[in-house]
Amino acid sequence: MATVLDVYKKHKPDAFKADRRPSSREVWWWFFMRLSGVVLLFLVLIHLYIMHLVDAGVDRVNFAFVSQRWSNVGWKTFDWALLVLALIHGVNGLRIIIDDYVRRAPVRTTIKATLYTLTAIAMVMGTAVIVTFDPAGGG
Amino acid sequence: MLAPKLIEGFVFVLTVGSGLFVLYLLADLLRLRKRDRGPAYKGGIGQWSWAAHRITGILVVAFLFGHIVDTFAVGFGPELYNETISLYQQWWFKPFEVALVAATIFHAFNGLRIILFDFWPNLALKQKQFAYAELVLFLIAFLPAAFFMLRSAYEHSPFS
Repeated sequence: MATVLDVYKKHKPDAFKADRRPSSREVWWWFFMRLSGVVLLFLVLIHLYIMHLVDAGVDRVNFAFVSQRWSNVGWKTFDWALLVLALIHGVNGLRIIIDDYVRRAPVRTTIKATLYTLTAIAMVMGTAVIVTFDPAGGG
Repeated sequence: MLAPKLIEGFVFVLTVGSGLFVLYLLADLLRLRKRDRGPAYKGGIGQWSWAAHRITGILVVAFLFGHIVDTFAVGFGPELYNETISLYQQWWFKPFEVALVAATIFHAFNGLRIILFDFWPNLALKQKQFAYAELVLFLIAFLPAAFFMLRSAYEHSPFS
């Protein structure tokens, strides 16, 4: 029976050469983590300051508060950028941690597939609620 | 209503799940230190920063998933959203909120330190000094924030 290794050796022979070129995809992920990290530093700290420290912090957050904030397209953009960057940055971090700790390939693939599915769902949910928000409420 | 309870349950499951993973990570770290095997990175503030970066990252991203789901409730009108979000407004939830802010601030500052070493490798020769400086900056940013957040929670708690 052909193992996963055999399949890889047949279809990706270059990956087994000693002088193979390192994956440029990982380099781009490395770069993305730094770039999004610097942007998130500002987005997240502003978000924390507004939501947790100013006025009554989380105690004042309710539907009316969100309504008022999201009547401004600037804050909608801010929140959407925060959603996209934080989610991709966070899930890529989880991917690296999963690669470190889960040694068995089938388990690792299952966990990652579940994670990516949940991420896609969360991304759609977050985007939909920002884009389709109706201050009149109800849905 | 059932929906807010489900969302709060989801947040709870994420918190417990990520907490268990953090415990596993710490156990793994201590096991590596004890057995001292292989080319494992051995101790010191650098290793603790690395572990803390992972731990805070896991906690923040776990909360992010819950937070996306609770924010989704805002699309279903005031009644559902206000009941969902009331979890975060309980006085006893405040320590968790403070922990989240601490994790985020630490991850942000430590990430900045990593970026500095990546782009200016010479600075890594002073990694210990940078790590201590980062802890000082973390305390300067976090302690006032924690004070104001906990004070408002104390005023609303049964203890005041």
